[in-house]
Amino acid sequence: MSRLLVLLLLATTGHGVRAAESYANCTGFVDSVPAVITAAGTWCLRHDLASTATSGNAISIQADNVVLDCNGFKLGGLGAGASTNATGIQGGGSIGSGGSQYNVTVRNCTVRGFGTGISIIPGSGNGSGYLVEDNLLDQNRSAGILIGGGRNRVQRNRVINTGGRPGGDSAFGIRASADLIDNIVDGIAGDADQVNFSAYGIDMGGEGYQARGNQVSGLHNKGSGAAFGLLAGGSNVLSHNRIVAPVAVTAGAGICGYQGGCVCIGNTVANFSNPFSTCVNPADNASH
Amino acid sequence: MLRPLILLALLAVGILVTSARAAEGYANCTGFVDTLPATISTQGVWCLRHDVSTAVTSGNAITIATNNVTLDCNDFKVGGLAAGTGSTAKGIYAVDRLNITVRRCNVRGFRYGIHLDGSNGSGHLVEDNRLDFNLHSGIVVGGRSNRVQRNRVHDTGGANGSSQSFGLFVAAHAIDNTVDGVFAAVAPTQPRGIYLVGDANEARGNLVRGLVVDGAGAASGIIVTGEHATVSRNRVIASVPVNGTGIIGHGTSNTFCTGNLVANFALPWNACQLLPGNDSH
Repeated sequence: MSRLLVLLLLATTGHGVRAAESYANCTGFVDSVPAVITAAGTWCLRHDLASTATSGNAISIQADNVVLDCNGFKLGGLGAGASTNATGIQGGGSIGSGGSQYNVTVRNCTVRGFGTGISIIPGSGNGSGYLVEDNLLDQNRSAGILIGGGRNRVQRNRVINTGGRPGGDSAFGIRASADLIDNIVDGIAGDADQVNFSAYGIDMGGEGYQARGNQVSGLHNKGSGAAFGLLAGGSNVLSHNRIVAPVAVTAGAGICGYQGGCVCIGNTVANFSNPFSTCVNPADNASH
Repeated sequence: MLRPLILLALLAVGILVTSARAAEGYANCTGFVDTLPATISTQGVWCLRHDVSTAVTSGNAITIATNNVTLDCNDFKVGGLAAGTGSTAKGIYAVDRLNITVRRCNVRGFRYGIHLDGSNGSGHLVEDNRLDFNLHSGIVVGGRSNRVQRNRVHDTGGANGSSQSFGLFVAAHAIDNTVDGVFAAVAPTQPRGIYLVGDANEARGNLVRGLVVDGAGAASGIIVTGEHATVSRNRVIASVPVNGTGIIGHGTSNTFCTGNLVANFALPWNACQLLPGNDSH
C-alpha cells in the first residue's frame, strides 16, 4: 500500500506543462464566413478565416451570453479592398430592430482589413456586459473597435494602422462606452489623397467609466481635421494614459476635450498644443 | 483502514486536478515545431510539444518566414547552450514581418534569444517567455506597435569579444518584465537592462537588477532613445553601489519619468522630465 501511495504522490507532483489552447469548452466552431451565432455558449475559431465581402458582417453574434474566442487565429477582410463597408465581428443587436444582446465577449482575435473590426452596438434596447479583450485590430478602415450600451470593458487590445478609406474624413481607433484598460492604439491616418482628415485615438462615451493605462500614438490629422488622443467627457476618470502625436498638433486635444468633466490623473501628453482640455481636478499630469 | 482511504481520496483529488490541466490539448495548433532548425512559412498558430535544442553556431533555430504567426512553446525549451559562447545563432527569428506573437517559450544559450528584426515589422507581441543564458541580448524587437510583456530575462551576457549586453533591446511597449542578471565578457563592461527605442513607447512596471560592471564600465538600467517615451513605475535595483545611471531619458523635454524607484546607482536618472513619484537611494 505504501508503495502505491508513493507512486501516486510522484504522479501528482510532476511538472504540469501547460499545453496550448483546447477546444474542450467550445460549444461550436466558426469554420467559414459569413457566419451567424444564434446560440449562447463559447464559439471558437480553429483556423484562419478570410472574407472578400464589401458589406455585411463576417461573423454576426445574435444571442446573449456568447463568447467568441478566436484562439489567436485571424479573421481577414483585406481582400475586399480599402473601400469596404464590411464589419469583421458584429454584435449587440441590429440597430433599429429593438433587439439588444447582453454579455457578449470577443477575445484573442486578429481582425484585419474591414470597415470596422469589432462592432457591438445594442439596438434600441439596453444591451450591456460586453467584454472585448486581447485582440489585435489591424488595418481596419473606419474604426478598430466600436462598443455601445453599458457595463462594458475593453482591455489589452492592440489597434494599429486604422484608416485609409478613400474619401474617409475620419477614423477611430476605439470608440466605446466602456472601461478602457491597457489598450494600445497606434497609427490612425487618412487615405493619401484625403485633404482633410481627423484622427481619433480613443473616443470614450458614457459616464462614470475609467480609461487607465492606455497608449495612443501615431495620429495623423490633415488639413482642417483635428487629432484627439483620448476624447472623453461626463465624469469619466482618465488616469496614467500616454498620448503622443508624431508631430505638433494644434487642432484637437490630447486628453478630454469633449463636454468636460473628466478627472485627469497622472497622464502624459506630448506634441499637443492643447494637452489637457476641460479636465477637472487635474493631478500629476504632464506634457511637453 | 480509514486513513489510507482518506489519503487515497486526497490523492485522487490531486490526480483529478492535474488531469484537468493535462486535458488542455494542441487542438488549435496549425502545426508543430518538432526539430531544429525549423522554418515557419504558413500563417497560424504553431506549437511546441516537447523541448527542442540545437548546437548550430550560426543562423536561426526557428525562423518565422510569414506574417500573422503565433508561436506558442507551451513552456517547452528552445535550447542553444551546446553551441558555446562564440555562437552567433538566434533562437527565434523573424525580419520585417507583421503580427508575430511569441509566447511561453524558454529560450536558452543563443546570441539573441528572441529576435523580431526589421524596421518594417509591426504588431508583434512577445509575452510570458523565459530567456536565460543568452549571450548578447535576451529579446530584440524592431518596428512599431509592438508589446513586450511579462517576460523573465535572466543571466544575459558572455558573448565572446563583447563588452555590451542587453536584457531587452526593443522598439515596443515594455510592460512588467523582469531583467535579472546582465553581464559582459570584455571589460570595461556596459550591461544594459532595457534599451527602449522607437517613438512613443512606454517602459512600465519593469524590474531591472543584477547588472554586473567589470573594470571601468558603467551599468544602465533603462535607456530611452526614442521620442516622447514614458518611463513609469519601474524598479531599477543594484544590490551594491554600482557605477552608472538607473534611467537615461532622451531629454528633459522629451522623456516622461514618473513613479520609478532606483537604488544604488551612481546617478539615479538623467535626461528625464521628472514627474512626481520618482525616488532613489
